[in-house]
Order: sequence, then structure tokens, then C-alpha cells
Amino acid sequence: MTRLLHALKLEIVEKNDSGCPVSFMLQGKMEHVAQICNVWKVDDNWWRRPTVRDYFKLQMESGLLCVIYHECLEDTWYLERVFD
Amino acid sequence: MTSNSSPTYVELHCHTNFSLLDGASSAESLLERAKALGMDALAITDHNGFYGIVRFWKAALDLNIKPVFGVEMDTDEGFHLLLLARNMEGYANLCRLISRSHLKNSKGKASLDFATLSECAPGLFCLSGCRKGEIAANLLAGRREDALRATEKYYRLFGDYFRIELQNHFLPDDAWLCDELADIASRAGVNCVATNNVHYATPDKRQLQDVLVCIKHQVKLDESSHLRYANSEYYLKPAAEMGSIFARHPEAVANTVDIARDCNVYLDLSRYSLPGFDVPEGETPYSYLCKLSWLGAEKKYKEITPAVRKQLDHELGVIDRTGLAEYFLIVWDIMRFAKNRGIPAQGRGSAANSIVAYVLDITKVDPIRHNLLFERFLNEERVGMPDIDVDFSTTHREEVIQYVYSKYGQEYTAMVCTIITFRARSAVRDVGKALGFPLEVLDRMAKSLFTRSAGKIDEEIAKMEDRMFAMEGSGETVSNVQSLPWRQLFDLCAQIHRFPRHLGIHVGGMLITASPLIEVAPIENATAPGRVVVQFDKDDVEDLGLIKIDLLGLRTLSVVHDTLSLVKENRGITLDLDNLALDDPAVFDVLCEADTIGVFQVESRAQGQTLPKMRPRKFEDIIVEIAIIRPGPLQGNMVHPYLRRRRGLEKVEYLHPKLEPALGETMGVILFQEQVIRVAMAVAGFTPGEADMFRRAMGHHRSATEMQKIKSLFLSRSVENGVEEGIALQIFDQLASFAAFGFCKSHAAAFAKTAYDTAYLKVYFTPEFYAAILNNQPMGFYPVEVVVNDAKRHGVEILPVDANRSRAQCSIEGQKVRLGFSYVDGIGEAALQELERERENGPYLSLDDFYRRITVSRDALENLIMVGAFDSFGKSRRALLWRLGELQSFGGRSALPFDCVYNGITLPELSATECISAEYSIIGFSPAHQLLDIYEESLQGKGIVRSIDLERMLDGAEVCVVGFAVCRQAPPTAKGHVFLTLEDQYDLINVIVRPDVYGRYRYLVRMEPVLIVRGRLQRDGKVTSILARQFQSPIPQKALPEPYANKSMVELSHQWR
Repeated sequence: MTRLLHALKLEIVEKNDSGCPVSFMLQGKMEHVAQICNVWKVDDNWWRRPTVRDYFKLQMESGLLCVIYHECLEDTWYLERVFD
Repeated sequence: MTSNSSPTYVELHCHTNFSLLDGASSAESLLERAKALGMDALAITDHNGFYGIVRFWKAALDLNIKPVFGVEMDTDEGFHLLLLARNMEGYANLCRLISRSHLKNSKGKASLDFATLSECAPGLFCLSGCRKGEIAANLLAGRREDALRATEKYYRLFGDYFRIELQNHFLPDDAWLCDELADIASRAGVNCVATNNVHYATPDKRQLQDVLVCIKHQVKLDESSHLRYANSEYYLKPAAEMGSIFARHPEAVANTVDIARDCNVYLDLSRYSLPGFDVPEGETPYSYLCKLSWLGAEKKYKEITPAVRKQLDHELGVIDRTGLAEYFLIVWDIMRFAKNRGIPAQGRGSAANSIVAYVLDITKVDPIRHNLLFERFLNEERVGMPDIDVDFSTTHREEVIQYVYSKYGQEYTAMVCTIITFRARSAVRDVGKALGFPLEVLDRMAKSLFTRSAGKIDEEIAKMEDRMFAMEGSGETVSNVQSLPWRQLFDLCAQIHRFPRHLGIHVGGMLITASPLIEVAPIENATAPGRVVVQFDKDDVEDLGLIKIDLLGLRTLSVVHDTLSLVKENRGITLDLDNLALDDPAVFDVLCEADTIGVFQVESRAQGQTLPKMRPRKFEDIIVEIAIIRPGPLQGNMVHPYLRRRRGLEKVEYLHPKLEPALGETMGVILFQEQVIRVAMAVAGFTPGEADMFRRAMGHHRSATEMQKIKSLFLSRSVENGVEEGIALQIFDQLASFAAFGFCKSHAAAFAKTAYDTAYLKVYFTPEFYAAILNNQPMGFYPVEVVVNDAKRHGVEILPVDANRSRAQCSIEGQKVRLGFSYVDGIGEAALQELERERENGPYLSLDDFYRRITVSRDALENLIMVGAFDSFGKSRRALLWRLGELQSFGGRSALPFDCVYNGITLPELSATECISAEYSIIGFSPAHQLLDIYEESLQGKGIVRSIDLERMLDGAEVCVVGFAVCRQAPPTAKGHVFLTLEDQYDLINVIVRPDVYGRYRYLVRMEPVLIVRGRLQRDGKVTSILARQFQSPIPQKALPEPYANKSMVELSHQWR
């Protein structure tokens, strides 16, 4: 099962030199990335309201498997999906 | 290859903008990017074609990058497959498989079958392709076994020359797909190769790529997510980045370099250039050419003078040493065919510099008499092949082309293509549509643009009034163009400028090759049934060392042909224009008076203004007249000095005495390309070959650095030759401004002969000449109504279409021209023949009789009635229309004659305005009236001066004129001035609009078909113009007759030149 979330904004995200997430705060708890399972990029709608996002599918040390994305133009991070 | 320690990488999957609407960077910009990234090689792999490979090859050589030639093919099964040529065998196989893939489909489509691929596999590398490749697509669809089978299939065919392609554009499943592909490769024992499926050089071109895809699929951006790539990762990436992306498959990156190293194709195809020419036994092509040339010389020259002998010997020697004897024989043979068939034909361009071409009847201008320069056409130092361009009567050109096909075979002959590129109007329409702009706004904007450059649209829009392109009721105004969508539109239009859009067929370029064409160049279907076109354009063909022959259609030659036929039919005279004396005073009188409508090359507004100042009195003057109204002399500020010197108003001077022999014939002014060569030889001491290369170098757009090199060479050689540097610099500047747009004297001379012939026909065979022009529309500078009014001014009555007198084409009745049925809209080709044939059974007695005997549509019958074709039956046009309705309702074609119960009704005649309106709608003019007749009453009392009265008025007088705008020009050389030609019932009127006045009346000047102009009369010798001060529309547009009502000016398309 997968839960699609209504793009929950992540307030604190730590990144490495390559811009990949290392950890983020979720529900008051710091989650640390164990493994980046996949990375993909979306860059579209440039003629209206541009969307530039870097997606990361992450395996967290806590066992959580989730998808977060970086809204590049705003430099903000969102949790989009959590896998049970 | 590079020996850096970081990963080395060569991009092997790269689309240029010659993937036709699926590639957003030119070959040049991709190669520049590759150079910047330190890539030693780069592949070009456009979709289903080699359209861009020659440009790519040239640019790659310039940048010292190794070009790899390939193609991404669509397969019959709908997959993609990437193929790269390893060697010339592979190149020929790619040409063959591309050709076959196109020829079995309709125009613009291609698909490769496995049988063809199998046959053409030698010499190729095969890469498995993108996500649409057979292996990747099967994996993505979950068909792993099929993927494995496909891998084995290609491996069996290509062995070690097959590679599985890995691509990662950061799509959600890309990493997975790469792993799967690598796994399959490993199982099958196949190597992998990393590529990036490049569609643009840098990420910033992604927007343009999206727009191109939308244009290709005719959708808006909002509707195109399924067609476009989801991100901007399809650019040319550096080796380090590719190394990082493919960190799990480093060998795939390294393999790119090995493949590039193993691909070695050099595109010199000159050995395939000529098909050979059968000569009589015991002759070689050269000996036969010599024989024909000397025989021809004996016919052309009553006496072979030492000058003729010397020139012929010299040219034959050069032709022998350059191996071009067969080329001359091929063209000679084509001309012989045309002559035997009575098809008017003559060589044009630089070939007319050659005495061999003249004595072989390829050209009609004697190079000895006209002091022409052979080296402009051919010299031994010249790089590249010379061109022989031949004009044929347009109506007969197809016969000639078919002859060439039959002589050399369909497999060895094809027309070269022309690449249709985006210009201002097409860019606005296509880009705007993709961005979602309303079509009406785009249409209005496109039509109102002056510039042809898509890069200058914003500049021009900034000068426009709101109403020029604002959509009614949309609220769009000029201020809105600063908003984001408009800025995006202008920016994307600028980026798309000169991008290839689609392929067309060149107007005349024919390629004939020694090897079967499909091994030399890919061919594909053209629009015309049965016609194929080469995927290379004329420049490509020249760069490849192939030879093309331009077989062009010239409508004026059709006019000449038709005039001669009508003269023979009407007067029983057979004219031989080849032997005209070229010194008839009456012909020169017509030219001096600028009475030249219909006369080839000297009928335009600008020519009309210059002729009375030039006052040509000999054939050489016509050559100058044709060459002088060109951008070169205009831009080089040569025209006025020449005219002043000719009229004795300015002293003839030379910057240096060495110039006198070269420029003496044109009074010290450079007017011809040949003079650039002669000046370079005289001043800088160049050899003829060097001088021609110098001319060619200056003629192309060069970078500042290259221009500086050319300049330094010219200056240093001039100084060595004893010319002072300051003077040499002035001479160089004159040559530089002229060279880009100058005219070749031999070309002008060839055209001058046709100009003389047409002027001669106009003077002595006036009705036949006008009838021939009317039978060959559209042609020439003016719309047909201007030609008709000119005929009337010359006393030639134009008779309306008549059911019992007209023929299919316009014909002669005494000294009058009878319009042909072909001028009536809606009559098909078959009916045209039937109309005349049926009349052999007896004249048509009435509309009823005509209706029963001839099968044409009701629309065509109505049109015939409305242009007066049945007036001779004595009934009004309205009554005939009524009767037609009755016939259709109650009669039928096979029914017996009947009387109708409504016969007693008396219908009013059509008004004059209604008649004129109908005639303009149906045939484009009125045989008996002029458009302004409609407004005569409403214009009374406005102080309007008739065109014929202007001549009697004083220079500087304030005048008011009215006319139908027949021509509007804004030449780039005129610094913002606009030139109008109006026509009233009596003659043409020249109007000059200064930039400030144009700014005030832009809308009227551009859009109104009929204009009242107030301004000052200007007289320069015999030329009268009105310097406009104010414009006014005489009537509301809705009062205009169809087809002019409610149409913008630009829709009256003939008017802007």
C-alpha cells in the first residue's frame, strides 16, 4: 500500500554536497536517509507556472520508505508519498 | 581521442534541428558545445534522414571534431533504432536503407523493415535506441522474453557491431531500465553504450524543443504532456556528468569513444559525380566536345577571329584539365532536346561567361562581344563545381525533366531538395499556436509583419499601432506585448528563426550521378506523384562534390513561346528571335519611356524610375540597367554616381589608374561581379583563381576575423603591386559593400537578351504579347489588372469571355484580345476542352442550348453569365441567371426545351457597379472598366488630379491623387521609406512615403486597397512622383466590391513586393 499525501512541507532538510537529502524532520522526529533508492526530475509548465522538482525515493534508517521532492524554484521540500 | 584521466565520452545519439521539429539546436551550436566540453567526436543521428549531415560535416571539420554519421530510424513495428556508418560502405548502406524506408511510404513518412536492415547491415554499428527501441520498449512493457529475443536478433545480424544503449534522463524508471538493459546485454554477451539522446545543446533550449514538438504534432503546449519530455535533461552533457550518471556502468561510457574511433567516413563524393556521356565511336568526351564547339563556333561567328580562337582554345583547355567535358555534353544534349521540341530555353548565370556554352547553344550571349570573364564561371583553382543554370519555358519544363529521367534512369536522377525554414510569419503562426494564442490574433500579426526575420518581430511590433494585431474585442493592445506570453512568443520566434521546418523540392536543381543515387544520397518521395527528391539541398550537393544542373522554369519564356505561336497563327509570320539585330530604336524608345509593363526584368517600379534617367540606347545599356537595380549597387552607393556620370553631371574618375581597364565600361563604378575579379587582379595582382576566391569569400557572410584576414591579404598584395595602402583600403571597402549582393554581368546579359526580345514583341506584336501574358498568369511584377489596363492604354481592347468566340486560352481577334474560358473560375480542365470541341458541332444558340450541350457546374455557369459570356444572346445577365435557375429546377440537361411560366417577368439589368464587382470577383479584373470607375461620383469635387495630368503640373505643386494600390514596397536599402504604386483609370502613379509620414498613416498605407494621397509633386527628369503628406481612405471598406471588401491589405497579396 502507498499513501499519497497532499504534499506535506518539510521544514528542515539536511543535504549533502550533491544536493541530495541526508535527513529531514517529520512529525517532530529527525529521519535519517539510509539509502537513496531512486532519483527523478520533473521540469515542466514553463509557459505558465513553471514546475521544477527533484524527486527522491528514500529508504530511511527508521525503516520508512517515502518519496520527497525539492521544489527547486522555491527551494522548499515536500513529502509526497509514504510506502507502508 | 583525449587522454584525460577523467572519463572520456563521445555523444553518439544526437539530434540536430534537422530532425525536423524534434531538435532544438543547430549542428553548429551542438558542435561548438562539444568543442567546449572537450569532445573529440560527435555523432549526428537525425530521424530518418541525412538532411543535416553536410552542414554537420563542414562545421565539424572547421572545429576539428570528428563527425560520426548516423540516423535514428523508425521501424515497421514502430520502434526506434540507431545506426552509425563505420565506413563508406556503411554510408552507402545508410543512404540505401533511408531511401527504401521513405520510398515505400507517403511523403514525410519512413519505416525500416528488417529485410532491408539485414541487406544493408555491412559497414554499420547498430545501437538499440531510446525508450522506443525494441528492447527497451519490451522491458518497459514487462515483456522481458521479447526483449531478450530482440537482443539476440540484432546480435545475430550485427555481431560485435551491436550495442545496447543505456540512457538516463532522470525519469522515474530510467535507473531501473538501465539496470535491466545491462542485465540483458550481459546475458546476451553484448556490450552496452551510454548515450543521452540529445535534442539540444544546452538546457535553455528545452522550451524551444517543447514548442517544436507541439508544432510537429499540431497541438498546444497545454495538450502535449504525452508528447514532450518531462524535464530538461536531453542536452549535450560533459563526460564527467555522464560518468557520474552511469557510475554503475562505467564501461558503457568508455565504449562511446571506441565506437567513435571505429567510425571513419569522409564525405567526398566527387567520384560519383557524373554519369558519363555516350560519344560516337573513336571519340572521347573531350574530343567530341571540341568537335562540337568548333562546329558551333563556325555557325555563330561568320569569321573565327583570333580572339574567338584564343578564347575557345583557352576554355577547352580548362574544361579538359578540370574533367568537365561530360558535364558540358550533358547540358548540350538537354539543350538540343529542347531545341528540337521547340521549347524556349537559354542558359543563365555565370555559365554565360563561357564561349563554349555560347557556341554549344547553351547560352545566347556572345562573351567576346560583351567582354565577359570566363574565370567567373570556371577556373582551375576553383574549389567546387561550376553551375550551369538553364531557363526553360515553364509550361514545357516538365518535358525536359522527363527527358533527363528517361536518358539517365530514375535510379540515377532526382531533384535536389530545398529546406523550408521558419521566417517571421510562419514563426508567429506556429509558435503562437503552440503557446495557445488565439488564431485570429496570430493571423493578423503575421500578415502585418514587414520583416522576414523571426528574430526582429519584437522590434517591428514595437512600432505598430494597436489595431494592427489586436483581436477585436480581446482588449489586446500594444502595451500587452510586454506581458510574459508575448515576450515568450517573441523570444521563441527569435530562437526558431531559420530553423528547418520541412522539405521542399528545389525549383530546378537536378542531380545526376554515376552510381545509383540511393548509394550516394538518400532520396524520398516528393509531393508530386512519382517524383523523388534528394535529402540534400543545392549547397550540400556542391559541398559533396556532386554536380547538379539547374533546369528552371521561366514564365517569360512561355510568354515568348506563346507570342510566337499567336503571331504565326494570326499573321502567318514565323519570328526568329535568335537572330534579332538588338539595335532597334523603337525598342529602346519603349525602354527610355519606361513603358515596360510585361517586359522582362525592367518592369518594376524601381526600374521604371531609373530607365528614363538611364535612357538605354544600346544592348549593353540594358545589361547595366538590369544589374544596377540590385542590393549590391544600391548598398554600395553605386547607382547615383553611375547615372550622374552617364548624364555628364559628374566627372568619370578612378581611385587608381589600374582600375580603368576593369571599370571603364561602367564609368569607374563597380556594377558587376566580374569587375570585382578584374579589380582584384589589377590592384592586388591576384591570379584569376585567387581573384574569384576573393570574390566568393567576400560574398559570403564572414566573421569579423575572417574578413580581417581577407582584407589584410588584399592590402598587402596591393601594396606589393605598387598601390598605396590608403587607396587599396578605399577600393577594398567598395568591393566589400558590393560583393555580397552584386550581379554577375553574364547573368545580366542573358536576362538582357530576354528583356530585349520581350520589348521587341511588345512593340511590334502588341496584341499577341498581351494575350500571351494573360495566358501565363501569375507572372511578372504586376497583378493581372495592371497588365490589362496597360494593354488598353496601348490600344489593345480586351474582349470579354464569349460562349461562341472564346477559346480555352486568350486568343487574338484582329488587334484585340479575347479572354479565354480559363479565366472563369470553376470551369475544370475537361470542360475547357469540351467547350471548344462541342462548338465544332455548331455555335451555341442560347443559354438553354449551351446548358444541354455542356456539362459544367452551376457555379461555373453562373460565373460565365456574370462575366458576360452569354451577353451576345441579347438577354440581360440577371435574366440569364433566372433562366439558369429554371433550367436546373424544371429542365435538366436531357429534357426537351420548355417554356417557363415565369417568362413574363421583367428583371432589371445589373448596375455597372454590380457588373464590375462580379468581374473582379470572378476573373480578377474588368475587361471594360477599372476599379475606380465605381467611385468616380463620390470622388468628384475633391480636387483629385488624374495621373495623366500630373505630367503637366509644376515641380513642387501640391496635389491630390487617388488610386488602387497595385504595389507597396519597403526595400531594406530605403532606410524606412515606403514606395507605393497606385493606378487610376489612366495610368500608374508613384508615391513616396517618408518614414515619419509612414509612422502616422501606417495602417492606411499597409491595409487600404484604395487611397487618396495628398502631397507634393516631385519631378526628376521625366520621372514624376508624389511625396506623400497625408493619406485618406476614399470610401468605407464595406463598399468595396468583392474580393476586396473586408480584406486586409496583405490578403491582396500581390501588393507587397
